[in-house]
Amino acid sequence: MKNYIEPLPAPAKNDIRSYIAGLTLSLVLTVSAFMLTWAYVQSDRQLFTRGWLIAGLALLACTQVAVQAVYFLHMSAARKARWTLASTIFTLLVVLTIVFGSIWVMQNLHYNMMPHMEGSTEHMQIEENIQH
Amino acid sequence: MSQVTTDLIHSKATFGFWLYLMTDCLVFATLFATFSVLRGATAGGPDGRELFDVPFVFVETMLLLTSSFTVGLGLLAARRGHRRALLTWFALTGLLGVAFLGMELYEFAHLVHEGHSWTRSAFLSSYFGLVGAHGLHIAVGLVWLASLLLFHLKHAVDERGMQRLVQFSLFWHFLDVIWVGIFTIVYLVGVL
Repeated sequence: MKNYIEPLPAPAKNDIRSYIAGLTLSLVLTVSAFMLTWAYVQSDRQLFTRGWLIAGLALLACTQVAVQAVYFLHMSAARKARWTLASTIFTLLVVLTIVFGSIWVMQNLHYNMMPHMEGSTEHMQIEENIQH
Repeated sequence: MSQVTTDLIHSKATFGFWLYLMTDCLVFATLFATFSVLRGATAGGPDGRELFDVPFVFVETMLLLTSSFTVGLGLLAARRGHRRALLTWFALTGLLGVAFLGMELYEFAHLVHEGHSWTRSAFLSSYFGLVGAHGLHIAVGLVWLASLLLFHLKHAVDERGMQRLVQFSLFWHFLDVIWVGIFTIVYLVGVL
């Protein structure tokens, strides 16, 4: 009788299907991402808009992470595995905060440090001319 | 100890190992954040477009993905009590891991040889930091795998042995998940 937590429910003894499904889906997703990028580079960056391609690649990568989490790591929402799921969701939250927070803050910093403000370009050019 | 008590200990150990993986996730998150912020800071040096050979890295990705599959098959074999099949699948995983690491080190050596080492620019420092940290994890995983293989050459897989195999397989799958991020964010987006 098992009435305690089972952090990651193992697949049944003979269930090889989970791994085959994980491998197949991951292969399809990886090859698609590679082909899209390759087609874009080969077409002299004319085939798609860069922004859409990045969005597409991000979607493919996120899908693949989800596929591997389910089929390789056997994560589930089952009650026994709830604390595994909870710790993972919290980690994802921190990961997103670190990554997007850093990008956001540093972009703002970069933007504010650029000599694009009223009159400042002229000012810097004058300064440079004096120095040279 | 009763069966329920030992099972409880094993499930707690697996959960503890999972929490370690989550903290390792945070380590990689900081490295990904650093790389994302510094990817344009090339200091007049080369950027990803000039440096990265995507077909080469695609092959690396295939090797690591396949090794994530074989480690799963090894675990299934161990659950069924087939020690020989376990050893075969894990040895194959090791070979794929060594091939992956070999290709990565070749890429690193090539970059350094061309004068594009981590001292060239902030972009390259963060690149070597992130990809190198993953490579270091793979190297540690290979040592761990070798010790498991050597141990189970002589010993049958008991309850504790099974627990160690499960933890190793989680570690190895986790590294493949991290690599999906590196392949996309560093290499694919890097050459756009």
